[in-house]
Amino acid sequence: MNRGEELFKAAVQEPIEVSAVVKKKVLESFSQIRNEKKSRVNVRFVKIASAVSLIALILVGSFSSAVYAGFKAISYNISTALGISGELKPYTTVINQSVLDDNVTITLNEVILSGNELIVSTTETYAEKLAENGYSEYSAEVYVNGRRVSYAASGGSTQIDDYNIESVMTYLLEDIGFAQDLDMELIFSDGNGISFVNNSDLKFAFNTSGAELAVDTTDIEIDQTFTFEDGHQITAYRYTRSPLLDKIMIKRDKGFNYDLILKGEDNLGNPVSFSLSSSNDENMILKEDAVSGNNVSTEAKSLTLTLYAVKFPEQSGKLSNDFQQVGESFTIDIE
Amino acid sequence: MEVLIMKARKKDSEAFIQLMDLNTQYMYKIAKSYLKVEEDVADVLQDTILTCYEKIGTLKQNKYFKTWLTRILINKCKDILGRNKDMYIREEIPEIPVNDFHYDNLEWSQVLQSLDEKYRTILLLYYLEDFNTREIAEMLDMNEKTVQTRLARGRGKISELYQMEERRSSI
Repeated sequence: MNRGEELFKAAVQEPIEVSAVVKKKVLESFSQIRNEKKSRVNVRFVKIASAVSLIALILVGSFSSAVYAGFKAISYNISTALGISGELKPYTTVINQSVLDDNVTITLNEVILSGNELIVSTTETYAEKLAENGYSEYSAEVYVNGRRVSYAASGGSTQIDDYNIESVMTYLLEDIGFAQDLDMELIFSDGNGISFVNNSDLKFAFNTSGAELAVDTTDIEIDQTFTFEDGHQITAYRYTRSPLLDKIMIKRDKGFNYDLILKGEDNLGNPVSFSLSSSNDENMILKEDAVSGNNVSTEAKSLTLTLYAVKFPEQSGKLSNDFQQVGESFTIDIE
Repeated sequence: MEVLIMKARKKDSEAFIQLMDLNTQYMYKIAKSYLKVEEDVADVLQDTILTCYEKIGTLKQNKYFKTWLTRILINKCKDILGRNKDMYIREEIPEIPVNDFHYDNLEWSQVLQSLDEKYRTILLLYYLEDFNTREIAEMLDMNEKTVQTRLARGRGKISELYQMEERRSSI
């Protein structure tokens, strides 16, 4: 290496201070990851008993990639994964298509559209025996009418036996108006995250009417503002009733960096709680904690809730569980 | 780093965050070799971190972490360039005039801007992380021969600029 190269190398290896705008975005993504972790924790996967069902397979994508009918997969559904006791069948679109990637068969079991969230259940069946505690190696991008509309995803997977891993992922979609006819494509990747579009072998395509696919939801407007000691204010502005999971929407300002839980009971005395599921610069979504048993009864007419909050660490560090009450309890009429 | 990568692959979010923390400067430098606007760099880093978090479970081996991260980052940069191509022409980044070039007292960004864009990222990957030409070719989706040629020319350019500076300062 000559002197010029040595100096060049020294210059590019010199430690630098990244700009404030970059630092801010990086910290925001760390917060998002911590928020997502919360939502992962809330998704409890229940081991399915050995009930095995034959799944009808449809050829998708290139012929060579499709899997021929006759293979067995564990029957799995979204309500089991999310711990929802109510009936979801009317809202579920059963897909049951499979594609093959090397030694793995991916089966798209079913999907549900709830607002701008597409909930997708898949089963990966491996030809070779899995190590213990295997996890899903695949995720997807969602395309509607030829346009990529997914921008974030959360969820989890569980190994149900030596060869099968099941996943339920929630994909956040751009709001494109879902009442129209939808040509939907889910293009899976084994995770280098680069060539989604070109990898047509891992493509599931199905056509559906948005109106049929969408869960019936009811929005109830609310207006409850909370003021924090450091001057931040947030406002709970909408309660969405859904056969899937009820949601509370909260407006936030940009610097707000707290984890939130809304906890209380319904008018019948049943405990209910809502945990942070996702957030962006303007909004936070808290979802019903169905898996912990604190789900909202269909009989409930009102909920009385109290807000608890804890600050996310500014940079790296452990999440704190030291939730403190913020403001007074309030009641939402959800009838 | 090895332990963090291992934990991150098992979806330990705090380990993943630490890993990204350690690589922020690296990602910043690579993104700056492509993008001029600081907000674009910020968007690309954010997008890269979130994509990596989503996909980290699919990373097959720890030793491929850096090339895997770099490929994702570079593809995000290319996405932005593609999106902005009508309003943002990368080749228009002004090169530093030779007269203003003080080689042993340069900041890394000046050094980069002194080079033609087709050598910039290749040289950065080569000198910053000691990637070999095969790895660089893979990350840039480029023929290895092209990488070797550009690297040789880029190295020549570095030496040329240094010699020019030497001559100038000896006058």
